[in-house]
Amino acid sequence: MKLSCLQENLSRGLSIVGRAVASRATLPITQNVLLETDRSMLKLSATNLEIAITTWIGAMIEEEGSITVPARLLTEFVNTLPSDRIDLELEGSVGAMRLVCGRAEARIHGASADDFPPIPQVEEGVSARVGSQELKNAITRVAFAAATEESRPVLTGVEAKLSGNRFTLAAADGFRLAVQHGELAEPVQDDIDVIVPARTMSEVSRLLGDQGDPVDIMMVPARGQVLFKVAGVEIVSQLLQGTFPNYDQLIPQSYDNRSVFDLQKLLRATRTAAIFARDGSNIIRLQMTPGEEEGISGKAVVSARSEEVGENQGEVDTETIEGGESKIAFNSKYLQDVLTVLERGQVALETTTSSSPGVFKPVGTEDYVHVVMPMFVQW
Amino acid sequence: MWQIYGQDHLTRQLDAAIKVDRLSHAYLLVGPPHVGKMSLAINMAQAVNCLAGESNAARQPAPERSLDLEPAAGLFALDDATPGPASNRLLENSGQYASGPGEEVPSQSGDVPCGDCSQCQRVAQGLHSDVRIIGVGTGDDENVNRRDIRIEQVRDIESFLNLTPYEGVCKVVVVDGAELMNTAAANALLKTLEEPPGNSLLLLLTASEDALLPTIRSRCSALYLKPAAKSELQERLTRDYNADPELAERVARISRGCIGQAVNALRDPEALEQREADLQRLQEVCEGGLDMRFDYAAELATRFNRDRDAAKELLYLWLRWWRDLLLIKEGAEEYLHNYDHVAPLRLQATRLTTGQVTAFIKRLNRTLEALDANANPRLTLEVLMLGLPLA
Repeated sequence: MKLSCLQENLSRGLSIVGRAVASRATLPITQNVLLETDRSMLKLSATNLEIAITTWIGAMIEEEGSITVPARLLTEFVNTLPSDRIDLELEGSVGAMRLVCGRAEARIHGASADDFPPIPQVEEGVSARVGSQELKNAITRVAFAAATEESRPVLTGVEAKLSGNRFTLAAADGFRLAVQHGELAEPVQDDIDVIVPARTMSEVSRLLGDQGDPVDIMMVPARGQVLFKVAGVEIVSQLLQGTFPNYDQLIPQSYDNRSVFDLQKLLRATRTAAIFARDGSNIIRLQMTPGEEEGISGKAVVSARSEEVGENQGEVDTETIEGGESKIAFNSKYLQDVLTVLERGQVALETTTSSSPGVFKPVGTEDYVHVVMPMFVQW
Repeated sequence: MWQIYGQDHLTRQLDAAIKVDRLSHAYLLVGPPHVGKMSLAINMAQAVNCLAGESNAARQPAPERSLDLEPAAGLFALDDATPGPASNRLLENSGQYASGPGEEVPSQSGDVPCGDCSQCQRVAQGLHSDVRIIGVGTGDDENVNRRDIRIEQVRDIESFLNLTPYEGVCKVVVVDGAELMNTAAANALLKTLEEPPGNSLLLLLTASEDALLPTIRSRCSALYLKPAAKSELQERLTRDYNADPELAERVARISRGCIGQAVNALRDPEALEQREADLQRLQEVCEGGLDMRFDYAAELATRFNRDRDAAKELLYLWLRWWRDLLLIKEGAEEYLHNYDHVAPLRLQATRLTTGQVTAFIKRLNRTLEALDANANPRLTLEVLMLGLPLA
C-alpha cells in the first residue's frame, strides 16, 4: 500500500471511525483501525463488535493494500501533524506502516488486515430512507429513556419499527417509556421491527450533526444487523436479541386531568424544585388545580422537600386545564429529562390518579408520547 | 472433522445433534486436566459456525456417506428408505473405523467442523469475534492473583450474548474452569444458562463437576471426556508428534490418558527430569526415618505456600505411586503409571500389606482435601508423613 492524503482529511476520518474503536481489550485487534485502499479512496474502518463505522477519504493511491494499526496511536500522531500532505506506505511484508508529513516521520507497527474482524456488509435487505434531522430529533427524544443496566437486556435498546411510510422509535427502562413516530422519506417495502442498542442510536445521532442529506437505513433481520448510511459514513450495528415489550397497552388511553403548560415555565419550576429534591429522595410533587371560575386559568404547584435541607414550592399557570384537581409525584431526573428533550412549545400532562402513570405529550402533534411512572408519596 | 482425539462417544453424539439441529444451548464439559476439554470446546465453536454446515445440506448426508462406505451401505440397503436407523448404523460403523489402529479419524462421521473454511480458521486462531473465552484472570483486571471468576466477567458475557452474532451464526462462550466461578458469578450466570438469547452456545469446562453449584449442573447437558487408552495415546504420539516409540510409551503412561499432558511432557524434557527427581526423593522418604520425613513435610509446606498447584501436583504424584503399589499387590502390573520404576515399586510392594497401602492412599486423599480447605499445610503434611508406613 502506498498513498498520499491530506492531514485534515485523515484526521477527520479517524475521528469519525474512532467512535467505534473498542476501549477494552477482549479482542485486542479491535483497538486497531483498518486502512484499506478502495478504488481511488482510502477506506477507514473500526469496530468494537457492536458498532462498526466505515468512512472514506480522498487519497492518491499509488499501490493497493491494507493494514491495521493501533487507532489511538495513529489518531494522536496525525492530530499533531501540520495541515499538509501525508505520505503513507507499508514497510516489510507485514506489520509496519511509514508515515511522512513534511519533516515529521513515523513508523507504526500494525497487524495484517486479515486478522481484523470483517466489517459487516449489508447489501441486500429491506431499505428505507429518512430525513436526517427527523431521525436525529426522534433519537434525541427517545434514546435517553433506554435502560442503562443490563438486567433486562432488550431495554438497553431502542425499538425501531418501520412500516409503510412511517417509522416508530421506542425506548423504556421499566419506569418510563418514550415513543416517537415519524415519516419516512421513502417507504419501506416490508415491515421491520428490530431492537438497536441505544448506544448505536446515540452514535448515529451524533454523526448526523446538522447534516441535510437523508439517511439510508438497510436491514437484514436474518443477519441481525442494521446499516445507517449518511454522507460518506456507514455505521453497521449489531441488533439486540429478544422481543421488545408490547408497550401500546402501557400508554393510558384516558385521563382525569389534562393540564397544558408552557414548557419553559414548567421546566424552570422543575429545575428549582430539583435543587431541593436532590438531597431528599429526588421527588418532585405536582399539584394541579383548575381555575375557580370560567376564564381564570388554573395553576400547578411544583414542590420538593428534603428533611435536612428544607423545601420549596413554585407556582406555574396552566394554559388550559381539563378535569378536577390532581396531584402526582415524579422522580426529578425523569421529569427534567422529558421536559428537556421537548425543547419548546407547550406540553400536556395527563394524569388519572396519583398512583397511575403520567403522560407527557407535546401540544399540536400526536407523534410523541412519554409515559412516566409516579413516585408513591404521603401527601 | 473433529480435531479431538479419543472422544468418539462424544463426537458421535454431537454429530447426531448437529445433524438434526438439536444442539443443547449449554454443555458442561467434564474431564481431568489436559484431556482435551478446551480443544473440544473450540471444535464445537467451529462446528456451530462452520460454513460447510450451512451450505453442505447437513441434514441430508446419506448419499455422500454411502459412497465412503460402499460395502457397508450394501448391507443396509433395506434400511435406505428410512434414513433414521440407516444413518445410526452408519455412525456405529464409522465408530469401529475410529477405534481401528492406524485409521484416520473418519471424516464421514461429521461434515462440520470442516477446519478449512474462514470461520473455522478464525476460531482456531482465536480471532473470531463471536467466540469468547473467559477464565480466571481474563478480562480487565488489576489483580493478577485472582483465584476465581468474577461476576463482572459473567456480566460481560451476558451483554456479549445479547447482541446478534457479528461474523458467524452463533455466539459461543467458553468458561474455562467453571468450578472457579465464585458464588455470585455462578448465580449471575444462572439466568443466562436457563434462557440464553437465541443463537448462542455456552460451554462450561470443569475438572471437578462436584464443585459446581447444583443449579448450574442441572441447567447443562454434561459431556464426559474420557482419558484415552494408553495404546491409543502412544500411537498418536508416535504418529502425529514424531515421538520416539519408547518415550511415547513412557509419556503415555504417566500422562494418564490425557493428550495435553502427554504433549506437554514431550515438548518439555525438563518436566520429565523434574519428575525423575521427585520420584527419587519420594522413594528416599519412603525408606528414610522420621527426621527425614519431617524435613520433607516442611519442604513441601514451603512449596505449597509459594505455589499451591505445584505442591498439589507433587501429592498427586505420591498418590499415583501408591496406586501403582496397590496394582502390584493385586497383580495388575499392566496398568502401572510409573512403569519405568517397576523394580523399586515391586520391592516396596513386597514390604507392605494391601491394608497399609489402601490406608495410606486414604490418608493422601484426606490430606488433599484438608489442604483445599485451607488447613495449616505444615501440620497437615506432618500428619501425613506420620502415617507413612515405616520401612
